[in-house]
Amino acid sequence: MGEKIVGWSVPIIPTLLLVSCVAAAFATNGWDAKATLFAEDPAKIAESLAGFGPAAGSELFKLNDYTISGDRVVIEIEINSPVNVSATVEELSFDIGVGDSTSTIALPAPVIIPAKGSASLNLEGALPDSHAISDPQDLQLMGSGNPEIRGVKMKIDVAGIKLEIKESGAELGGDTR
Amino acid sequence: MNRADQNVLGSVNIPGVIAGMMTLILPFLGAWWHLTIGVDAIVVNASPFEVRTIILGNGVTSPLFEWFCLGLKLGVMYLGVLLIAGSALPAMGQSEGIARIFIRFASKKLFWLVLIFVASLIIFIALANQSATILPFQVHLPYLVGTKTVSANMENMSITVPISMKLTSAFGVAVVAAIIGIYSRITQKNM
Repeated sequence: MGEKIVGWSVPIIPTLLLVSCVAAAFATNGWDAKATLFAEDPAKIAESLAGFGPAAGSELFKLNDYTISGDRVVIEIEINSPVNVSATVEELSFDIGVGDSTSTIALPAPVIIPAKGSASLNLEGALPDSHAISDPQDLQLMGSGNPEIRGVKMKIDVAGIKLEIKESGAELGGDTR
Repeated sequence: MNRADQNVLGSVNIPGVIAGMMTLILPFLGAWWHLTIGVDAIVVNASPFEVRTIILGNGVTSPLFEWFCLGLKLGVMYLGVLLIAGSALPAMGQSEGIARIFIRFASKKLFWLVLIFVASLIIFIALANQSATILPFQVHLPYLVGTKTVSANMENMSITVPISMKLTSAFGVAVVAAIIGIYSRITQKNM
């Protein structure tokens, strides 16, 4: 008789344990199926992972300043990282219009952007010989007063994932001069 | 060692005791399988008792799944207790019938758990490899263990993603415990 009772009770106990734990999951989340399945709203998770939308906060790229000194132009860009891991901008270059010519501005060395942080990138380039003067009016500006940027090339390493972007034309947001 | 001690030891199902102890500690040995995408862009540490997913530094959790895994953890510890009890009862002069019930129920369960875990991983990876319909590039992930670099070129962008998978030592302990558990059932039959 004892063996019979043991025989049918032994398999029941693990089933009871599993069912109890599932019931506890619902009970501790107010019997709300969505809250029990997902700790956070899936839409918010997707937004925070993509780094876009209202949750992202400040712009990704912001033009802080640009200066022309002799035959050198220096453009300061601020990058705000939306992701919770560090990223490295390995290469960044683009062309800006100077008079009838274009000048290539590039990042001299890789820059690390901390997780959910920001970093300033100083891109430098040489002006074409015929424009080795400090006349900012020769720099082609868009309606916003920022340099017209073309041919963006960027290599970025986000926690081991390497992304290479090549674009034909873009404008950076930022303060106008 | 006198004859009485030898008789006691002879009544103990030693493989059952070993399998029981290994099964008891198994839920606390950590993940059985480790997946890394990038360096730590996406990290998945999986076992039947816990799945930790971290995507770009953000943990992704499900309370239901965590509680279910707790239930599995308790269930496996229960199996370990049954194996030890079923192996030691005959030596204590207690009912051999009950000992047989314990060993018969508990001896194969870990083996099935390991099998289901491996099958689930293979199905998950097979589905990921079929993801060409929803992704703009083909993915050919290794099955269970290996490293692969996935590259894709899209209009203005190219992406290179290193992927690494491995089974851990905790999985090895689970396999050994499962095999010894099955052997303990054979030993029990011959006692």
